[in-house]
Amino acid sequence: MEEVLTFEKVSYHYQDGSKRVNILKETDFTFEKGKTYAIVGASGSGKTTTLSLASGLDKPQEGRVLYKGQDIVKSGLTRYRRYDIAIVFQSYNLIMYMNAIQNVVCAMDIARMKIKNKSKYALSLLQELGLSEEECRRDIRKLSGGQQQRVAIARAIAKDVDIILCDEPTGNLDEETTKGIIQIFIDLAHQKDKCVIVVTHSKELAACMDVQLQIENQKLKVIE
Amino acid sequence: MLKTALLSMRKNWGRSLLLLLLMFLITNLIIAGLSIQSASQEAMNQVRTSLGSDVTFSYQMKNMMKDREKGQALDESIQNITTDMADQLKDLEYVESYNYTLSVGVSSEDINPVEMTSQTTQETPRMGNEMTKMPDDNDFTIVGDTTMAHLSEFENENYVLSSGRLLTEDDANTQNCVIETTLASDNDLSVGDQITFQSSDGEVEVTLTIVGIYRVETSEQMGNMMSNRQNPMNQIYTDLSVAQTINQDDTQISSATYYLDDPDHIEAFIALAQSSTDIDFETFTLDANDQIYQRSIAFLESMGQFAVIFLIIVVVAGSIILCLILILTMRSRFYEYGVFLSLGQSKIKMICQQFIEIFLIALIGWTLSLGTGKMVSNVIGHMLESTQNNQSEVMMEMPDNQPETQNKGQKDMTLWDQAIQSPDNQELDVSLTPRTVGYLAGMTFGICVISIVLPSLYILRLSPREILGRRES
Repeated sequence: MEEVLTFEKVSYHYQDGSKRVNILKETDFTFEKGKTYAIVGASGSGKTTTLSLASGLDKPQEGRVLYKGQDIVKSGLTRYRRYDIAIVFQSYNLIMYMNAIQNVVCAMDIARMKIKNKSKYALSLLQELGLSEEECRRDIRKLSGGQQQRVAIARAIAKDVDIILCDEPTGNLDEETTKGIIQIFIDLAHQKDKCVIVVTHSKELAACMDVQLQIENQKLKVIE
Repeated sequence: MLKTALLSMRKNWGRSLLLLLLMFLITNLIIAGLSIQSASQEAMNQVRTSLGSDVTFSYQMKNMMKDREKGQALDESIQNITTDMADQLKDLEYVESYNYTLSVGVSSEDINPVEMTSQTTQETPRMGNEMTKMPDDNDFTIVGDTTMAHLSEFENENYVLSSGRLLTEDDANTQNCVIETTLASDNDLSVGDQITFQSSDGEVEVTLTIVGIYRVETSEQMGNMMSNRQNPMNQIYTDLSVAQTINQDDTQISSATYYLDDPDHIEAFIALAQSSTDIDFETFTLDANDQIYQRSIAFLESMGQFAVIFLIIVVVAGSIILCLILILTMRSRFYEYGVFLSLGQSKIKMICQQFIEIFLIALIGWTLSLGTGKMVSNVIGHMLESTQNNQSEVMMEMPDNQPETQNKGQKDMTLWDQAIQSPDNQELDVSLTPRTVGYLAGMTFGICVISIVLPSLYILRLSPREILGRRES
């Protein structure tokens, strides 16, 4: 398996008044392509911070996050977010004045993907994820939570990046939809050789992932 | 970016419409300001042009009076202008042509003057050649000119040639003359006839041939005339040499007028004259009707200054209001920016998208205002036209641009009538000049840039994690 993302002695803390709260301290871990990872733990344990550091939304105070051996801070966090990763949020984070197709095409435009007919490609991706053409063209606010999450996943897949990071992707979904979404993530890793990292409270979702991680003593550790 | 901007504008049509209305208002106000500025400038140019590009060289009465001794006769204290002095100025830069004038009182036994009052007639009855004249009783004025080509009375059509021709430089050293039609008809004179005049002391006699007859349409002198010779109908226009012969001095002239290539060069010409000649400008003066001009344009200058201040206020206030609206808008788009940042969009591109949105709206507002701005500037044009006419009537001695009835009609016009009708004075119709459109485009673009600066700082300090974290929580 190819190593794709490495935490190298990463430390992160924040100030709570006069008190310094350490979230991560000199933690090391390597994520590989073709695998699904679940980061679990109680609220405030540092799951979302870990995801933010892995996705380039934030940078470590100490240590380095390496994408294919390169420090993402040095190569540029914006560039890293644009070309190398995709994020799926719990609240979907879609652009509300765009329909499903436009949301997917917008992500492809930002990633400067050279595909001839982006709208057609976006529509095929969305249809693969179970949305009808009519739903794809509908006002995004008129889609259900599950449908919006599928749009968010289509947006992530469309970028054709190595790493897909998900923050509580099934948090707002019903059981049936959750199962469908979990299967999509597993297929992305196993069939399309992506590295899927999921932050979740859901034991069911975590159990389906190849590797389960938790933050213990400010370090990322595999749950055996 | 353009695609996203268009999508955002279409979906958020309420906000777009509000910004469009504001932009439309701002651009119309800018047009109003520019129109005031352009029209007042045009009006100033017209005033300057109407006063002519001529500069008159004459003696400075005020300073001469200072040097006058008690009881001294005026003609003894006045220093005459000489042709040598005047010749120093005629070859200076900006001078296109010139005219030297010498006025001399004369009498004639051949003809009767056009009498001022019947009382005068009774007191000094004149019976043609039988009349006995006192040697100092000058009923006529010989006005000797180098040329009549630029005489203001004829240029302003106060005097109109009715037969024959006016004198030109080709009439130098000839005995030709031009007389007034009333004088001609009273004495049964026509072109080709000859008249003899005597100097005040009776020592010089000249016989002149009539080559032209003019008609006095209006005259400012009429009300102030005290004697026959002051009556313009008793003026005889001749070549300068004739007047000098009668005056028995071929070096003296009354005044010299220099016709410049451009009214804008008047000040430069005066400065050049003062620096490059040995003329004593304490005693003599170059007058370009400047006092009349300054009085006339004082209001227009105030209008011009007001226009500048007005434009500054519109641009600054417009930018601030737009800026505030954009900041408020951005607060509602906070989450959208977070999403774009998480997708890898650069902050600069996000600012550019904001700029494109406001610019596209401004472009529509600008285009619409080209139509309505015409109406705004028509109103301004009418206002200035009316002001200019009033100014010219009250303060200036310039030809009527408008018949009085037309001015009254204009006062009766409603605002709507003024908006849809261009000013009668085409020079004041400034709404759609390329200059105005260009300035409007520049200022609109400037407002877009200024209004986006502060919101851009807001975008630049955004942290994607902070935005999305807030959303997730």
